[in-house]
Amino acid sequence: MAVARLRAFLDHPAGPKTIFFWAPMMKWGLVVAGLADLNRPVEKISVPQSMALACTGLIWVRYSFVIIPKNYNLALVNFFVGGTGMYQLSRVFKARMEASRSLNAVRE
Amino acid sequence: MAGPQNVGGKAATSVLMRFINSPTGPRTTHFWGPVANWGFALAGLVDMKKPADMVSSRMTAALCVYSLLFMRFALKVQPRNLILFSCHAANEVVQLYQFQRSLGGYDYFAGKRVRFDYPVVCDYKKTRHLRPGADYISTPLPISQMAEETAARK
Repeated sequence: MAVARLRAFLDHPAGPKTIFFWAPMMKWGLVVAGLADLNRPVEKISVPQSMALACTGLIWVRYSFVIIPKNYNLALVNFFVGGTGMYQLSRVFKARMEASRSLNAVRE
Repeated sequence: MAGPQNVGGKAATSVLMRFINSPTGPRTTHFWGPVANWGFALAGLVDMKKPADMVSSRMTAALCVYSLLFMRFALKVQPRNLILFSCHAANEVVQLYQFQRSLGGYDYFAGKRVRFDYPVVCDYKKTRHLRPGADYISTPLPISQMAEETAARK
């Protein structure tokens, strides 16, 4: 039974014999590399790049569901790409709110 | 008059309308996903002017493999996606250029080969202590003094 399931996985239209498996796997590598950048100082975060990553990630989640074969792995990896982009943007946003708040406090 | 008219054997709908309404046209995700992906290819293009020692050999090598895989993905996916293919083809060329530059190759904007003052190592982080620049010390210190130096810089 386990052998049958293994065979079903290997022969899947998005399985390890196809490019639809390896391309998203490679993208996971990029996501993991990007995880190291999660704690970068806020001043060094590039806002355009994070916005681009957030938008690309989210659009691609939908794209992975409309292509043939449907690729849940690709959807998940792009969800993480979009998620890290949005996380970095939220950090920048928070830091700027803090800065403007402290600036207002100094003025008063 | 309702609907497109066929005039003299030419196509009834214009090329533009056929493009807009096509199954991989701007009304579908098949179009906007790859268009979004062009963003990072353009970012790579802008980075071509970076100094060669700021280019990470590892990252560019990884992106070369990544773009190669996605070029094939774009051709094999249903429906076939040439916008995605073109964006990864462009990125592949840019990353190959950056990779050979990081290893001491030809710099198009300088018109000649890149010259490093230190032996080229595939892992650029290892040569950090040799690179000129305000952030780094110019000569390697013994390990015992490195901690003091780092603390003094902060």
